[in-house]
Amino acid sequence: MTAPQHGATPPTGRRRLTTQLAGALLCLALAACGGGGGGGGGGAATTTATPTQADAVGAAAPVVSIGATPTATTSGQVVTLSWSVSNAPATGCTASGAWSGAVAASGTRTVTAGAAGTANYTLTCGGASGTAAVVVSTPPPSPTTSLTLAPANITTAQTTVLSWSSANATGCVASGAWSGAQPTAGAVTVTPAGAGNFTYSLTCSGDGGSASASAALSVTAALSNSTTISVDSGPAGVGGVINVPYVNVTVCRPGTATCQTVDHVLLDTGSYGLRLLASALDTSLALPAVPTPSGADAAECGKFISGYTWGAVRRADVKMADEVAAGIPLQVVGDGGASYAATPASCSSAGNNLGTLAALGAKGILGVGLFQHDCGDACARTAIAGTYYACAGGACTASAMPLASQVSNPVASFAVNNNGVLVSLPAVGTAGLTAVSGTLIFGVNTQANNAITGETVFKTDAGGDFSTTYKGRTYASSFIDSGSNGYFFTDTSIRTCSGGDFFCPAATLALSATNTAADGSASGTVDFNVVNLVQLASTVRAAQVGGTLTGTAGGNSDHFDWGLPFFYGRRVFVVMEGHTVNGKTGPLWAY
Amino acid sequence: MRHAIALMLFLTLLQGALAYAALGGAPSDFGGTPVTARRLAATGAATAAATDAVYTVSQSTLDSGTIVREYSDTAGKVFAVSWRGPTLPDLRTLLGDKFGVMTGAAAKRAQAGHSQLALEQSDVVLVSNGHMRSFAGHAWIPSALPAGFDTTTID
Repeated sequence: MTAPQHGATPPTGRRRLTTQLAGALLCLALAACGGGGGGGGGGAATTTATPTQADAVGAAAPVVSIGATPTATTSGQVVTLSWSVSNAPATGCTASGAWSGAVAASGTRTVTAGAAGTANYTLTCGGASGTAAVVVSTPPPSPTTSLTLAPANITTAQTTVLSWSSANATGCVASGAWSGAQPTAGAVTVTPAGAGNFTYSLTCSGDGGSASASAALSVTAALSNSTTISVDSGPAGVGGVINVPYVNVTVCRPGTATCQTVDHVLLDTGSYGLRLLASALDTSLALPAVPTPSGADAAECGKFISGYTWGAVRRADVKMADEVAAGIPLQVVGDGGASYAATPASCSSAGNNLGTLAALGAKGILGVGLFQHDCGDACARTAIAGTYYACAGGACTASAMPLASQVSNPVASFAVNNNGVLVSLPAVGTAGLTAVSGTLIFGVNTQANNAITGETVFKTDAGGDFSTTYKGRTYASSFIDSGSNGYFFTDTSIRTCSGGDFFCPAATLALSATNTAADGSASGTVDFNVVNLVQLASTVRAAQVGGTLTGTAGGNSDHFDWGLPFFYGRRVFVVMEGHTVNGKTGPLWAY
Repeated sequence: MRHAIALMLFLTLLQGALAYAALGGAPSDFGGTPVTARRLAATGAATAAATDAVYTVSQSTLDSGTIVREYSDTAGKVFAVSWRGPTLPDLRTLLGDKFGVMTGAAAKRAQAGHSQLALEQSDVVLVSNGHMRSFAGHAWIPSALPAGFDTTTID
């Protein structure tokens, strides 16, 4: 604030000097303005007022110099005004135009650029005025961006989709768990490399600046949902088996670490629930008995075409892969408990006792078919002889059994992957194989490894059957059964082996049948081979064999039994009752 | 020349305990809720498709929902039986003395699986198929079939 003092009462004789001072000030102002004003605008504008005639006559005329930095900007941005006045009048200076009020004779001020247009910052000092013009334009809009992960919590066996979008941006750059230039919108499937927490960030930029977003992904170690299926020669003590798929099953006393892994349990898509031979279980397991509604010890009769399994209903934690069915009822076949000592006649009426290693050819049966319970509502409603029994004092009588106490498919009780299974076995040529290894995968369409892709869905009826048309006849109660060790169907033109069960055609037969869903919603042809059983090498344990359902004069059958050979070279999905996949609700098969 | 038969169907709902005849003729109480269908022969009908067998079908629906049928000749002797449903019926009762034939034959099928049984002997023909929750089967005594009986009509 020195300049006004120079011009407060300028003596006439000093006009030249004053004029020189004004010039010097102008130069100073120019220098100051030229050196400053960094920022977005276009340099500085300075105007200098020319003294009017009146000024020349009276007191020394004021000289106004005002500049703005920058001279081009956008609304809302800061503009710095700098001005100086020589010979400032006593009345001071007044701002007008885009600014207002009284201002000192020299100084700087920051102002905010207003609406688009030309903003004139005028300073009037007595008869002199100066104006700094600033061109104000509408600012470019600010970019926005968003980034989402769906889902945000996965396991290492799952994938998630990272999707993003932005507005007012011309490009994006990824950082954090991903990198590189990205389009302004898009989506990528993220396959986790491992467990951990990951942050995906994205910065999108445009004329109006930049915006960032981030999303967090939690990846936990995947629990295994698959276990090995072995088609082999069976457990020690069993001979001559063919086409029997075995798995390992671990059972534990509920809630404890007292466990046992049982090998060579028959994988059976034709039954429901776990049955283990008592002779294969350590007595130290001491699985607790399941009571009937009356409080007696519950026992069960498992009926199969070839015979029955009789034994206690007990409870266990059933584990396969990393899946656990906590505290579910299972059947302990041939249980040594005194309550179960006598096999009821209504159980043994199913035929022969399968409750031995030799008869069963396995240490147990894992029923992972289309239903959760082996009997279901009928047995919950009323006592049905030949199913559940209440046993006390060595005598057993038929008893109703609530669903929660019925022997049940362990898959249904898993915490996850509990809607069915996928059975995957490699192809077996006409010469057969001595051993086959495949995979039992839990869950359908729940993880990357159990997704139905090209397979067709075949709904079944309430009993788990669909229809098969073979050589012009339709068999309305046909089924897929890993527990059947061949294709079993009616064809009296095929020679049977001595003994009668299996086919022994002179040469391998290439056959074909058509399966149709029970609701008619899908249909498809199945080509299959039937080889001569007795011409196979004696060591063969997996082969495309078949057999007769009815013999040469056995009358009608409604069945076509797609046994284990059907599984060779296929992925066969079992979707349990009440679960929906691909828009269809089980019970259903997909293959 | 055979004359065709028109079959007349009579349904009789019988109350209380009913004596059923097991295969081969031994009477037994099978239980369940019985419905009896009698198929009677009559001569002089128009078509030649059927043969003039005369027999009675007794149908019983068990508590489980399984349907059991017993085919009796005019003397009341059961010559054929069939079953279909979610549980196996009491085959010892149903098959009578042929039950032992079935178990004896099944025991010899070491390599065969657990979902089918087909037996053809001079004294009995037996077919048993299916799986848990869906069983079906039938059996008959070849020598006891009424003249002209078509075994494919057993269902």
